[in-house]
Amino acid sequence: MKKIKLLPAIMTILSVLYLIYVISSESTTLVADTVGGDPGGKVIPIMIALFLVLGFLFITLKERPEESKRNNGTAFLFVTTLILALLYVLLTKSVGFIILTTIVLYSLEYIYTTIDEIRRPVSGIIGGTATVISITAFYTLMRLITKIMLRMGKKGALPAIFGKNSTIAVICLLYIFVIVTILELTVVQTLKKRGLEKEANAGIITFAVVLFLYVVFKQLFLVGLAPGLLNY
Amino acid sequence: MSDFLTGLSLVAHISTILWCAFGSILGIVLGALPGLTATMGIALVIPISYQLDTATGIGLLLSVYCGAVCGASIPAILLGIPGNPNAIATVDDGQKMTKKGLAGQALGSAVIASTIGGLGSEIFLIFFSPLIAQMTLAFGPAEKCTLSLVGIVIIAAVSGKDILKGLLMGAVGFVFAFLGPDPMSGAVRIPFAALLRKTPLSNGLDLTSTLIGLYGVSQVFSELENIRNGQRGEICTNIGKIFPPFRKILSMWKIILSSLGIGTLIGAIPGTGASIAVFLSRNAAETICANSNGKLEKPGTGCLEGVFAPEVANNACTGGALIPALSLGIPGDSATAVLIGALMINGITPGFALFSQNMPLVYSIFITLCIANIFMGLFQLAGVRVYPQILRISQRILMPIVLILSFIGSYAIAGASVSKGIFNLGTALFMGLFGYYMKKNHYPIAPVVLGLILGGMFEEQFRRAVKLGAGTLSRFYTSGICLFFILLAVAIIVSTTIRRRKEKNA
Repeated sequence: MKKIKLLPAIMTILSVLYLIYVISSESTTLVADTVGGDPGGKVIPIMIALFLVLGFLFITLKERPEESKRNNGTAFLFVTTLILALLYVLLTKSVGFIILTTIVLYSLEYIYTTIDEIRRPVSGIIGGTATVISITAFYTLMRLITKIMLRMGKKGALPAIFGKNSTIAVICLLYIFVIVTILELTVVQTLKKRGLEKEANAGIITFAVVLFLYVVFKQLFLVGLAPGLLNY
Repeated sequence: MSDFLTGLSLVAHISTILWCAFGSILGIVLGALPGLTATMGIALVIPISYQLDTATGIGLLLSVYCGAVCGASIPAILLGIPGNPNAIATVDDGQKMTKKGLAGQALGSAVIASTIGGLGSEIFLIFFSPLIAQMTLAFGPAEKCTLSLVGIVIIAAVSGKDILKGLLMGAVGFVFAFLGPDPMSGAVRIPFAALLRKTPLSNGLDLTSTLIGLYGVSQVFSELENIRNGQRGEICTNIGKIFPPFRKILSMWKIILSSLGIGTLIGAIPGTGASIAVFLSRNAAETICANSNGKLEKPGTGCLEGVFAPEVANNACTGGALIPALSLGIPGDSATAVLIGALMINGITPGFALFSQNMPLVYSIFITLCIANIFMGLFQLAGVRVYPQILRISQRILMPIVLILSFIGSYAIAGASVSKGIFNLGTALFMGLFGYYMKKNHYPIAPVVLGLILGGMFEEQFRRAVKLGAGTLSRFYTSGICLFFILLAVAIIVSTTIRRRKEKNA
């Protein structure tokens, strides 16, 4: 029996299912179409579904699978990335932006950068935990500064410009820059000297990216990033 | 004049200038990094552009677009790896100049040439786009329906090796577009409606999350295969003198003008794109040099002529590609397909209505494009010695950041609604996996984007045309414009199929 390519075969099946769905669904016509002439909402979808079925069926019958093997390392990276991405989608609401982004980003950075090395899971996990704790601490401090400035700005204790979101966002960006620089020059350098370069790099990159994105999206553009566990 | 001044007032803010500057730098960085594309860059900044006022948001998108096209010359010259296909023709002479110790002049020439190309093509854009848009006044529902069909056929022809796969992907985009409310009656059309009626899917797929998924998330999965063997060549650190002699640039005026013309024209013809323009302009430059009585060096020998010709042409394509994109809503390549989507997300529908009802906004787009090109030149020149360092950043560090940016971008577009944000995250991940498997199996994804953008319009205009024809298809075969578009679509399919077969047999 001849081997067939998997993707066009799956797409053919999905197209057939779509065709069945379209045919079995109710036709929708223009509201108040007293004159008539509206072909309804099924015509184009049926034409498209037929084209998809025939097209993918043709490719399924025409193409033969190529001999290609994904090596184990790439498969591991793919599965890990997929699982972490799925967790991100499923847990964002309950865990929240800060903690979940930190865990996912640190994990990916650590796993990707150590792909050619023998990993030390314990130091990786300790590094990740330390990153989560430090980001939570500095985030809490940043929130406190923001709230105090907004309150003082409203009361008139500070010039009005300090009560603006954009000003506070700039101050927070400076705060992140200073903290990242200090951490890079102290903690990261110390860890690197002790042979924990990958853990330190993954941690500092995660620290900078998570807090930077938080300030840009939450404080500058006022996007409602899910607070989750850090609901304060 | 008042429209121009109003347009100018829309962009004459420090925030617009700063966002354009940010976009230019981001675009140059994205263009410089092999594996990251202009299309992906535009998709990733859509959520940011959505938060800004319209003119500033468009300025940001255009700055990323222009910057990424120009930035691709950096790895092409220093590493011999083009940042994206636009810089393929720059590799030969750029690398040879680097080996001669003239890396700085090659990088400087690429920037100057790109700026000339970008600004020059904008003149054509300003003149021609209103004229073409005016032609669409004669378009009724049947013409608009067939025009969107031509758009799909064009992008299917240009974006893959097999036009059937491109057309199928366009059809898949249509299916995605059909999810949600019926454009005429408003009735919800989703599978398992009883179950999904109360989910955000009942309003259709979110365009931003789809774009981010198809170009951002899918790129991360695609790059996983390169991450393991992602060693790059040695990067040249001896940049040297940057500016080429002014007299030398003046002596190349014929090359500059011919490349500008070729780039703009090829960019304006939907379905062609910069990767064709760069080789045509290089060929034209070879002819000009051969007839110059030895005054000009022949491209291919490691000379400025060989860098100038493709670099003028590829940035001239950006202005050229915006002509059909703004006037007809038809993209020339995947980057402009995403740009059209971004314009629509920002509330701008390309076509005559834009030019007749919102001329100040059109002027603001022209002005921000001009700013984008100037910033692109300034920032790339200023950072000629810095950008090569970017090439040292490993994909292993970048890809997790791209994934997180993609997720946050698709979440952010939902605003304050957490459930919509979660739905968008799921959409981005699903589209990322879909895009990854499609690309892996040589199915182009740009037609999916255009199908999603044009699907609703196609169906609505088709139904209107049939209704106007009292339930028949008469409107399609009695209109000269419709017949022209249908014949054009058939001609593109036939010619592309014949050309691909010839290429395969050769």
